[in-house]
Amino acid sequence: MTFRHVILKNFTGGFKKYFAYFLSASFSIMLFFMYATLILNKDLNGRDDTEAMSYIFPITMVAIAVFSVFFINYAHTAFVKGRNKEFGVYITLGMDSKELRNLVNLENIFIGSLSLATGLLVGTLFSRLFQMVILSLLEIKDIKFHINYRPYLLTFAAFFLIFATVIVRNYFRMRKMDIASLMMEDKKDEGKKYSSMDLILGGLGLAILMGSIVLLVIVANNEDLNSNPFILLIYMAISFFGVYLCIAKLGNLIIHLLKKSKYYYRNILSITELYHKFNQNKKIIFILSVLSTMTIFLVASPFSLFRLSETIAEMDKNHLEYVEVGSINVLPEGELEKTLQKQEVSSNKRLKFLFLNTKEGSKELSSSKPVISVEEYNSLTGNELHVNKGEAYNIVIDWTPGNHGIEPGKSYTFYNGGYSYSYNFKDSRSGDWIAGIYSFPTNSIIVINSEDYELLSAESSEANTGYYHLINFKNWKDSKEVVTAIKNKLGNSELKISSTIENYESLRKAYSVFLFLSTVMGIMFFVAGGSVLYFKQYTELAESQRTFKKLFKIGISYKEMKSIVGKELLAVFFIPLIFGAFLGVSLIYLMTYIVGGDAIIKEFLSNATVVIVIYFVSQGIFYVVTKNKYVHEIVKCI
Amino acid sequence: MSVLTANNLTKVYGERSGNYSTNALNGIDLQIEEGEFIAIMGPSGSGKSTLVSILSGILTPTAGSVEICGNRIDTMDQYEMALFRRRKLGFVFQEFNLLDNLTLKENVMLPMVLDKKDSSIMKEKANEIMKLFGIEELADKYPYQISGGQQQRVAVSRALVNDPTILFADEPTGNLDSKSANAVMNCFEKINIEKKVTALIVTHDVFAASFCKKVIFIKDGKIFMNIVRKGTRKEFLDQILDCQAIVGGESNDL
Repeated sequence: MTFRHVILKNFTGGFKKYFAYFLSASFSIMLFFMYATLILNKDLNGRDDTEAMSYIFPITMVAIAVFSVFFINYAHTAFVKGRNKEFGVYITLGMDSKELRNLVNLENIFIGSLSLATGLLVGTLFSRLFQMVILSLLEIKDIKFHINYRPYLLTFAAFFLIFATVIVRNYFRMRKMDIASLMMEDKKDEGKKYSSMDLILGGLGLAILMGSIVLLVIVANNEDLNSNPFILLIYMAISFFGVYLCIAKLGNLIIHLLKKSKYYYRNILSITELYHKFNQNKKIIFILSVLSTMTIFLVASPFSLFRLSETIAEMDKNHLEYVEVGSINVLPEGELEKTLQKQEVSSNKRLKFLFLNTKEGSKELSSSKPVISVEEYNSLTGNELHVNKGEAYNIVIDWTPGNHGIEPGKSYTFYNGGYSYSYNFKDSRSGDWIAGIYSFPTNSIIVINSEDYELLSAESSEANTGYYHLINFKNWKDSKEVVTAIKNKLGNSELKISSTIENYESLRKAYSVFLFLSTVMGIMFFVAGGSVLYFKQYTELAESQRTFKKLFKIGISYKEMKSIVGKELLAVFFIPLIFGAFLGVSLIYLMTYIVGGDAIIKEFLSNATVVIVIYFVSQGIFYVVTKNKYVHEIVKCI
Repeated sequence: MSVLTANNLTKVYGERSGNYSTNALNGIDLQIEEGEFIAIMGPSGSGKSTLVSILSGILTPTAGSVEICGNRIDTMDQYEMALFRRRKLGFVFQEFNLLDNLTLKENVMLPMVLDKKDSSIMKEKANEIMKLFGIEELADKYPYQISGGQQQRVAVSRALVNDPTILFADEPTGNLDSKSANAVMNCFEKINIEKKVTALIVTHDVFAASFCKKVIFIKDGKIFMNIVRKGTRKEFLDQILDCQAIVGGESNDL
């Protein structure tokens, strides 16, 4: 039997030990690869509607890098820990340390390449399937699944680097190992004694997190900073670092306090379990914090945009608006009504207005404005405006501030070939109007005294008279067909036909790439979180079985076991969500500032809250299921 | 007064009617009186460990009954059994069964911890019992930091911390060298004499058995014979060796 035989025997014999490590390595490679196919898809890059993506990419890149490094490191430590006793036996039997290092390196290289191959293969299959499902669910048609050599190369390079680091680290670690500590390792007390350094570093972590909020506000409100992806990278790295310090150091402090508290003996098994596995647990909690940050951020964003496009669309005053002026947008008598019959209509108004050239002194104003009588204005909007003869009000209907060309106190003249009338403008203020600003290109309307209006109206020709057509449907989401029919009948005109359904669709379309990417990545991170937890429980099951077997012989009931396991799981399941919610909301805040300004922030934050609540609830369900299943697995072996 | 009564205990492993079933116990009747200190001996596969597991409620018998202080333990449900075991029974195992994550003192307290006793009572009781066995200075160490003999004395302390009606031990010296075994068996003897604790140990170690007051030999799942100590330990040891030769199993021919 040669050395090579030993390695081979070892490998085939200890499959289970390798399996967990192999699985987790393959999993993170798969995840990374799926991510790489997304960012390197040429359909998604260099589009003008994907501005948001240039911010999302750096953020996710940090997250996925942190995840990969930490997760493989975690899995590797768990793997090596389980094997140290075996190494101890080899050394006792006379294997020299060089041979042992070779053995371990060979193993690592083997598992590394195998998981790289598996991860890439499964990743290729999944990313295609996954992207197609999401594309069809979101009804996005202009993105195609592309694959080329680049994601493969990127994944290979990244993981080559990670595995190389693992191997080098392992090399140095094994140089200072001795047999005794190797043989003991699986029993050894892993918890670190609390020191005052923990308080200092933990406090520093907390300070960094607080500081990151300040930084967040500064970055968000500064145009130069918030458009720089590099700043985003730094912001992410700092926040994650702060979270890590909080978890690792404050975690130690909290366990220390718990050990001193009166709750200690009540919960001795759960607390000592957390304490002794804290080196591993803190990594898991950190990884999960990163993952849930990304899940919350990436799921809440498209969810908000979905809701937002509906909210924005519903802000339209009417579901279908167009303006008929002169010979533009004229339909034969009864044609409109006939077309509308296909859909249930809740209201259909035709409103007359005058449409006159305006000048200030001899200076002509660039846009003509609709003019109506105060009587009509009041009856339409429910206002109680009073306008004297010879006076006029400019009612601004655009939401952007300003007078929009008419200054209060000045006199303006309406003219049309034969006549001209001047009015003294009392005020220029924003007010209600019954139509939007798109169907007639104006941002304000002019209200004059009813008698003045009669006079003007009598002298105006048909060419200076316009009609607002304002139509509302019972259910605007089904109005696509009717709207298209009317549009076709009116043909291409200079005056736009504005409809809620089309506004809604174009909003959706503008967001589609963003929606697609963030949904895909959000789900990826969510699944990753679940898998990490599953992986953790899988690797720890054997040890829990041993512990509870002992406890069972002393006398422990099923119910008590469940409560002990429950408390152990609590920290790992929910602490990451708290950090994740905090960082996720921060990122959403940052994102909305970058893409849309503070107008949409309320919507985003309230939707983020909904997402967080749903996340907590689903995590709660996952928690209960895991707890029951885990206890069941433990009981099975007793 | 009898502490434990077992009637017609039978244990079949595997399918009862199947070809692969093993009869570990074939109708054992046993009565243990208060203050007794009994060793159960027998060759490998004779059913000793099965017997002690059934008597202590870790396994349920295929047929027969076990009564401890008037409580039928073979009919208890899982929850009742768990509570009964940690409050009324003590158990010492060959492999010590200490929890690696807990200090030795915490290990000793464990049955009381599970019962949510007050921490000052627990500490006091653990201190007292560890002092009795001369291991009080190890209180804050962890199991992997001490020797096997010390671990087993901690395990005995843990088994006694709740003042059990009866103390069971399955090969308590099986993993120990003779010096440590001696120390552990001295503990058993001490508590039997000083605290009148009823104890039943399963062992194949004649030296350990010689500390007891009575030795029951079982073979093929039945009680084969029993002997009671009358003279010195040395005499009893010789007597056990003679019986063992009759029972068979491990041969001590030199």
